[in-house]
Amino acid sequence: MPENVLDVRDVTKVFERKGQPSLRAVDGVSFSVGRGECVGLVGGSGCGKTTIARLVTRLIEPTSGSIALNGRDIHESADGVQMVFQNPAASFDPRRTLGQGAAEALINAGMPKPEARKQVVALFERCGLPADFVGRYAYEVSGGQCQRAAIARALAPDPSLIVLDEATSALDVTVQAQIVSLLRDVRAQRACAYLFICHDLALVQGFCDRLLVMWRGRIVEEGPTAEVIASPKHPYTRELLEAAFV
Amino acid sequence: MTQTDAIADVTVRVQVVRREHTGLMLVALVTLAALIILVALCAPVLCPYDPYAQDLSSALQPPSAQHLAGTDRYGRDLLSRIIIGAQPSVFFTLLLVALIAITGVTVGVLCGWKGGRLDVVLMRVSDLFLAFPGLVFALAIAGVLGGGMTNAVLALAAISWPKYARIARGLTLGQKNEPYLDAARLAGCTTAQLLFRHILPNIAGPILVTAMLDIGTMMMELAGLSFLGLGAQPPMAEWGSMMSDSRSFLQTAPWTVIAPGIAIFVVVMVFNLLGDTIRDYMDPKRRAGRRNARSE
Ligand SMILES: Nc1ncnc2c1ncn2[C@@H]1O[C@H](COP(=O)(O)OP(=O)(O)OP(=O)(O)O)[C@@H](O)[C@H]1O
Ligand SMILES: [Mg+2]
Repeated sequence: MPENVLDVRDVTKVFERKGQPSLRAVDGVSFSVGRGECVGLVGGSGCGKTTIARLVTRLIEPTSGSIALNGRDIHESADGVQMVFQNPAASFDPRRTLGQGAAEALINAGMPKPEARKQVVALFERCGLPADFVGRYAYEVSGGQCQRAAIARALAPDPSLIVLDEATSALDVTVQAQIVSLLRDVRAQRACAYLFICHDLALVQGFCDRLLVMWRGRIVEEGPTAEVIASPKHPYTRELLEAAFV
Repeated sequence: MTQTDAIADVTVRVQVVRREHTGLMLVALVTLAALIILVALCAPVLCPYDPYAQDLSSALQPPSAQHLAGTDRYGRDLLSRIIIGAQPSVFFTLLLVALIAITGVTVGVLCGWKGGRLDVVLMRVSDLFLAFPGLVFALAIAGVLGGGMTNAVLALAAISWPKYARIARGLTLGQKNEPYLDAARLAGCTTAQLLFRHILPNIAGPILVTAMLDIGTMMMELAGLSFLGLGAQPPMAEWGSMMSDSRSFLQTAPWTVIAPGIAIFVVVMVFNLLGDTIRDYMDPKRRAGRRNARSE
C-alpha cells in the first residue's frame, strides 16, 4: 500500500470568465495527505480552498497538474474521495430522507437496498443519531444533527479520505466541539484521513496533525500544526494568527 | 400571556385552520375531479338516451322530467350529449396538457442543464412561439391542418409548450448548483440519475401545479376552437361545438346553449380550483408545517 492517500502535484485551476480576465483560483499547488493523517487547510476567503476540495473530489477537473489517490491517478482509481459540505441542510436532497441520501452511494455501487439500509442505520448510530433519523428530512433536524448525518453519508462507502469543507463553520461553538470529537472518534476507529478546510485556527490547532496555509491560490506555508502556529514564517500566516489569538 | 404571545398564538391558529382547510378542499376537489373523469369513462352507460338519436318531433323541448336538460334542434337528448361530451373534453384536454408538459419540461431541463449553444437555440425557438398571439396562431395552425380534435390538440400544443420549457429551465438552473447535487455526484450518480432521481422530483411541484391550472384553460381553448368549427366536427358531441351549434337558439331555446356552457364552467372551475389547492398544498414549507402539527 502506498504511503500517501492523496498526492496533489502542481495542480492549477483557471476559471475562464465572460468579460473578465480569467482567474487562477489554484496556482501550482502541491501537497500530500498521509494514510490516516488529518491535514488542515486554512486561508482567507476566496483563496481557493473550496476549489481544491472540488478538484480532489473530482467535481471539477484541473487545468493542469495531476492528482493521485492511493498512488493511482484519480481517473483510474476505483475508490473516490468523500466530502462533508459547509451547509449540511443544503447538501441533502430536500425531497429525500437523510437515510436515502446516506444509502445512495452504497446502492449505486450495487448493494441490495435492505443491506444498505441496515448499514446506514448502524452508521447513523455510530455518528450519534437515533435510528429513526434515517426517515427524516434535512429540514426536520438541527444543523448539528444534519452534519452528523452528512458525516455518516461520507463514511458509508468507506473512503480513505474525507474532505471537510468548512464542515463546522455553520454550527455554533458547542455543536462544533461535538462534531470535532465525533470526527476524532471516527478517525481513531478507521484508518480514514481528513483534509480539514477551515478558517478557524483555534479549531485546527487541537485537531490537525499538519497544516497548509493558503494565500491567493498558492500554499505559502506547510508543516506540523504546532510548529506553524509557534513559529509562522510567511507574513500572511502571522496575520492569520494575530487575528485568531488576540 | 403577553401581547406578542397572544398574537403568535392567533397566527399559529390561523395557519392550522388554513392548513386543515386546504386539506379538506383538496379531498373535495380531488373527489370531484375523479367523478368527472369517471363520468367521462362510463359515459355510454350513464346516458339516459342515445346521444346521437335524432327525433325531430321532440326538437327544442325545454327541460322536463323526460329530458332533464331539454333537447336540441334535432331532438337529441341534451343531458346524454353532455355526458358523452365529457369524453372528448376530458381526454383530449388531458392528452394536450400531458403533451405540452412533457415536451416543454424535456426541452427546458435540457437547456437548463446543458446551457451553451443548445440553450440559446432552443430558447430562441420557444421565444418565436411565444411571440405570436397564442390563440390566433393556434387558429392559423388548426386552419392549415384542418378540423378535428387531434389537429386542434396539435395546434394548441404548438403554442403552449414554451411556457413549460421556460419554467423547467428556470427551475433547473435554480437546482443545478445546489450542494446536494454535488453530494449525489460523489455518491456515484450518473447524469441520468441526477436528472431523474434528483432534479425532476425537485422541480416537479411547480410544473404539476402549472399543468393542473392549465387543464381548465386548455379545456376552454379546445372548446373555443371547436366553437369556431376548428375542433370537434358535427355530429360529435363536444361542449364547445354544441354551444356553437345552438347559438342561433340562444333567445328561443336558451337551454341548448346554457347546458353545455354550465358543463364547461363547472369542469373548468373544478380543475382550476384543484390546481390552486395543489399549489397551496405542495409548498414545501407547508409540508414541514404539517409534519410538525402532527407530532405536536
Ligand atoms: N465556478 C467558478 N467560476 C468562476 N470563478 C470561480 C468559480 N468557483 C470559484 N471561483 C473563484 O475562485 C476563487 C476561489 O474560490 P473558492 O471558493 O475556492 O474560495 P474559498 O477559499 O473556498 O473561499 P471561502 O473561504 O469564502 O469559502 C474565488 O475568487 C471565486 O470567485
Ligand atoms: Mg469555500
